[in-house]
Amino acid sequence: MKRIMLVCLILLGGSGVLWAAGTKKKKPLPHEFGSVTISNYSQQAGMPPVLFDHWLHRKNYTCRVCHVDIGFGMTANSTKIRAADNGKGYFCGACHNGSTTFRKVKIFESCAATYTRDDYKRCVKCHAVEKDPAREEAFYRFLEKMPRETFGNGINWEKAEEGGSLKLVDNVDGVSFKKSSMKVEGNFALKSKVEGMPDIIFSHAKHTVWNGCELCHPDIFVGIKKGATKYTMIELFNGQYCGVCHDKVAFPQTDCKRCHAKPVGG
Amino acid sequence: MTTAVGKAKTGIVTALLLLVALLPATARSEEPWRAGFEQTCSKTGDAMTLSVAELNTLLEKCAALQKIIETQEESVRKVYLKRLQLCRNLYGYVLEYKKNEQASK
Repeated sequence: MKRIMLVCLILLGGSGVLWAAGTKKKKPLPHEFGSVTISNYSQQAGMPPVLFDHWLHRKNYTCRVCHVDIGFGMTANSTKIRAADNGKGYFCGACHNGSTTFRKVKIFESCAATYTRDDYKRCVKCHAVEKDPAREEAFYRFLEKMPRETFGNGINWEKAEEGGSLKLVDNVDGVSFKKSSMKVEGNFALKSKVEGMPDIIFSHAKHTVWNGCELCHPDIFVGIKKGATKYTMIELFNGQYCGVCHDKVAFPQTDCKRCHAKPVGG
Repeated sequence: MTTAVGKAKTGIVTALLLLVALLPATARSEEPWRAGFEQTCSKTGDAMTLSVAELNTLLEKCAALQKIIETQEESVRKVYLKRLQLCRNLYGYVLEYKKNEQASK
């Protein structure tokens, strides 16, 4: 009887583990990391959803150009972009309007109220019907030229910018404000809760150069007094605080040493 | 002759109207509130250097701008209310920080 009970328990435990593994989120491939599917109104209009590649935009522009100046939300499908908005020069249409250029190359136009069979080829650049091997190849060609990283999409974006491999644009004509030089707040350390785990060094300079102030405060980090908000890794992995960007677009939080960087005893 | 001139005038007016309609929104709409919006929200990078009085003034301007933006067409409303929310919230956040700092002295 005891043996039967033991076998049942093992089977039950095993099936639990298998179930958990099956429902575990699939780790994205490097070229898929940071991709977002936007599907608010596309299907109603008879178009496939938009497959947005963060890496393709991130290699040219700072985060704040899109998420502050143009007004894209920080979570997928929160902005409720309509073709009409793009057509009037907002959201994707702020750059994808057929006249704006990037390094002297004209950026293709986004949505139109009516389109021909020829125009449709342009539509499916964003409204991707199926996986496009050309997009994947383009990513790996770009990756070859970038400083490498183990996690995420395999690119160390910070080193890429520091080393001059990337020169990010922080301004879109007719959309962005003329900015005064930013007063950057200092770095600070956050105490780690786990014995032996190095403390976190948070660099304001690294974050503000791409994000500005208003992207993080107060929407993501509401605490006024340093140290008053207690962050847990569970919250972070659930997409709160640092998890709003890290894991989704910025390097994953499983790359512990990138944040827990203060030498122990140092 | 007069009919031809009249037709030409109508043609020019129609062409101008079409041009205005086809220009991107950002290029054609230089309404006064946009200048006010830029003036108000372009100080986010300096927010920590602003005084409590300056921050209060900016927050008042944000409240006034919100009323105007709410009357705009849908696309403008969606974009600018989001942008206004980001800058207004930051000013409010810094103001609270500054008030706390003053209180603790």
